Amino acid sequence: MNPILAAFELVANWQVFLTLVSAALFGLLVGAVPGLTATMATALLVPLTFFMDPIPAVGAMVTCAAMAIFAGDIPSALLRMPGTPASAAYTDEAYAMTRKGQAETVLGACVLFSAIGGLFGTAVLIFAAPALAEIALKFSSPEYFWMALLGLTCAAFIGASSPLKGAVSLLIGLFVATIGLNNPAGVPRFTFGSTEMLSGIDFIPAMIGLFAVSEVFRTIAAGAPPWDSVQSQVGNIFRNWGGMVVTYWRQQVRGNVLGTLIGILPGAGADVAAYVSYAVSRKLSRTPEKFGTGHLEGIVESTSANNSSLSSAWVPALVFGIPGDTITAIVIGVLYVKGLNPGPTLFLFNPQTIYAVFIMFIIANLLMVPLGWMAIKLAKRLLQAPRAVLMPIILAFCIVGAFASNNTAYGIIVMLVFGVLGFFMEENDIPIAPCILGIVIGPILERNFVTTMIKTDGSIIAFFDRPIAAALGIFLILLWILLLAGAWRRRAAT
Amino acid sequence: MRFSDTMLGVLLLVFGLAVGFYAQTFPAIPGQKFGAAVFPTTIAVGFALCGLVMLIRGLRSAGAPLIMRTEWTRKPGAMIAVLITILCVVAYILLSRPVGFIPVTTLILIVLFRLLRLPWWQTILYAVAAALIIDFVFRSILLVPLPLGIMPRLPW
Amino acid sequence: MLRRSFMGLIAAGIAAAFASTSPAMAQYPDRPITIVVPWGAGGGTDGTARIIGSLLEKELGQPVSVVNRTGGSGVVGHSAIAEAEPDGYTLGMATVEIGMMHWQGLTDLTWENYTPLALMNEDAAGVQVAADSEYETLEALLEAIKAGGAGSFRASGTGQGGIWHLAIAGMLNDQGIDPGNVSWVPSEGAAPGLQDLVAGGVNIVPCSLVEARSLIEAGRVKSLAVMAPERSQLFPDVPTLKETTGSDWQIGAWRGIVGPKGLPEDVSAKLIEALKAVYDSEDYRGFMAKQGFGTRWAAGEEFASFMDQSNQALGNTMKAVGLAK
Repeated sequence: MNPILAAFELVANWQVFLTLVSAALFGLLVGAVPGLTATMATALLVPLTFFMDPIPAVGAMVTCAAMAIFAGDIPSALLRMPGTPASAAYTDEAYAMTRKGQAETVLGACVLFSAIGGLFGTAVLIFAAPALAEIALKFSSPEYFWMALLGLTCAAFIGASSPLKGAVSLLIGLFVATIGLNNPAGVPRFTFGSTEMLSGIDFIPAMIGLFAVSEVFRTIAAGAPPWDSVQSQVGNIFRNWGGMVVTYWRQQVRGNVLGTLIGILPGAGADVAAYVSYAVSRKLSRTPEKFGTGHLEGIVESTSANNSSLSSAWVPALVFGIPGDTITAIVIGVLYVKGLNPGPTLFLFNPQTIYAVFIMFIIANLLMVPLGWMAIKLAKRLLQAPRAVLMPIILAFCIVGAFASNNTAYGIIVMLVFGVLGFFMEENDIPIAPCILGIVIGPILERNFVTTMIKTDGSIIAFFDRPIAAALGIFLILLWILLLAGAWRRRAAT
Repeated sequence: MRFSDTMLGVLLLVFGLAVGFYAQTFPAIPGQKFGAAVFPTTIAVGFALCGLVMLIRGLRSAGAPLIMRTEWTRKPGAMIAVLITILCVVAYILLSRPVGFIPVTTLILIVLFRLLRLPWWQTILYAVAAALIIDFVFRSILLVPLPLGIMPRLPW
Repeated sequence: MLRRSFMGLIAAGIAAAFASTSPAMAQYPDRPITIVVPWGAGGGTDGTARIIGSLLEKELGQPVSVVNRTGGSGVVGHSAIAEAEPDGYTLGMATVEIGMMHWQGLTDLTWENYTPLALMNEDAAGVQVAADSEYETLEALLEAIKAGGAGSFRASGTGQGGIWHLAIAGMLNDQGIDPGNVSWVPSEGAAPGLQDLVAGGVNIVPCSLVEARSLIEAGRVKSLAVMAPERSQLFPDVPTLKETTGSDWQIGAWRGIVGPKGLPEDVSAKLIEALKAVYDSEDYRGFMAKQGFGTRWAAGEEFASFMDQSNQALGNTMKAVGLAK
């Protein structure tokens, strides 16, 4: 029988469908709760998959992870509480739209473009996985060093109102990332003898503090006044979505391609993809001045990017068993238990199974649309509650979320410190998003710099020694020259 | 609370110098040129440079007060409200383990709701309901080990 | 999670309410148990702990939840286990790092801060090179390392001073070769190290065979030897170190369930009995075999002396290669 038909037969039964829907609902719940991540949602499923058939087991994990990543956008837009660093790139933009009364529009865009992005990544996975995985395998530390530096360059665009203050924010993030034991030398840095600080600063409580807690402080200081504008209702969602796809098709395609490319690399993930896409969107936009004021363009591009990168992270995972992120790491374990050992042979000897897995990916992304829409409709009611009731409860959620990230009160301390820090940063017009990028990229940058230096005994040539590294390095240097020249010309013009 | 460029510049410069000097105490990786100190030192230099630029900018446009009170701080009670919120979180950190999640959360919520002038009946109702619902969702569905303290485990 | 019966939970809740007043543990366990894992969700330790947790739940009739306390190369989680109440309701998964961290001066904790319950798994280190590497045997590789001089080879697979770093440094030391001939390139675990091996960034990855499994099966990586007393069931073609070089050097990463120090004897007896049933179950064996993890059993005193030996051996190696403080 044709393997594709056989695959459909494996998938098409009620048991599989019910499993997928329950996993999707579970993923939505976990993802929407700040502090709990898609990784945790997937890990919680592991003991359950043990008692399932292979196809529903893998399907449940795929669906759950995709839903959780999208659901991270919901508290991010409504409460300014990003669920994952992948949402942090456009949290401020989305929250600005909520304040303008367009919560439904922005979340509708998130669900639509997340689903399309996921489908795009899946298409790449289906048609090009083996070839692309070969490229991913060629990346070593010099290549990743350039990638990280490229990501950092993007931070300069994100805080574009004042590049200097953007740089300060980025430096704060980079500094925070050096705290703890997690560095190439394996020595404690800035821990001052504390055991808890050896683990460094976890970005989840830090993110909750910087974004959400600082907002709670501000609102409580103002006596929790009602929202400035009433939330507008979106009428016919399909007409609305059609309009968005037509208006923003360029952004969407660009976000998808960029996200897929970054996602394939095992050392870079959805978070980097979202930041880079947001920056690219702003740089290439005809109306860059609208960015940051509640403008959909950048959100479309980066939400497309983070979901497509999530799907394409499976490329090295399925072809070589190399996890692209922690979620794929968990699923690889489950694949082994179910006898679906990842590797090129999975594509040769088990085509109906791999096709069934692909069909799961497609179903997961399609399910996202109705379920996601339902979740948005439910979550939006939050905004109807008076802010005097909402804010203290949000603070309670922040506390529990920060605690849950590593099950310790230390997380709450981190959250509080960063809440105060975020409050002061915003008082002084220092943007927050670059700081999160610094926390995420700092370790990647340092690790790859130091390991490259160890490999070559400290010779800088190593960064241009290999073909891909040389190409990336030259590209980045040209980019810097172009950016500096542009800034110089603008300065001369004024 | 807003710092002038001069003030912010000095702060960053001092912080950069402190980080930079402290980083020099980190041990090297045996046999390697680049160790634990490289990255923090680079960051420290970055901080110091940003601080310097800001300081120069601040001195050029002299006249701004070092610390300015932004609009909201002039509102009576605003600063105290922020302080009370911070103290609530501190209270949670200190008390949740011995006393338990539900009582401490209820207490904090009561304080904050009253701070925002919610009527008493709403305050009590929302605080108790929110604490119980959060406890149910996190402890029972998401398996987060919230501290029990003196509370017995609730029947869920 | 979803599978707990509501009535059972009501019963557990009522029981817990009464239990808090009577310290006598007539019927341990009468409320949910937590297993602390010092490593992140998604890793081998986490996966093993979750399977043990779900099987232990059946044995003991109480919910068992697995809690990750990550960071600080395992120090944070191991401290959390040691500092918990010794009442049998907080257990933990100790890993080989408990015999390493204190030598590096990261903590004062040693295996003696715990009540040993059961050793559940051990995976020996292997010596992996890229499939297109010119070295076909371990002897040839060792020969080249010996001749190459300082820093002529690069190895990766875990952080600086991690278990696989010790494995290769100890092996070279045992062969009378200067461990400095192989520079250690720190990585975030075995997977990035292996990817770098295929990408050509490093020459050797001395991680366990199970971690290298997918790339070995994909024909990108080959394993030259395994540092275990016997060949692995996963790859029976890979010789042991003893077979190739005659060396007695053995090292591996192990995982076991422990409690805080001072667990009551009846509690630990009951737990060991339940863990033995888990270890012997089809489900556990099947899970570990399919993943490719090795299984090894030792309980109570036996586990304690195992940890003692591991601790001594690791300490000696770390001192010999200059990783101990």
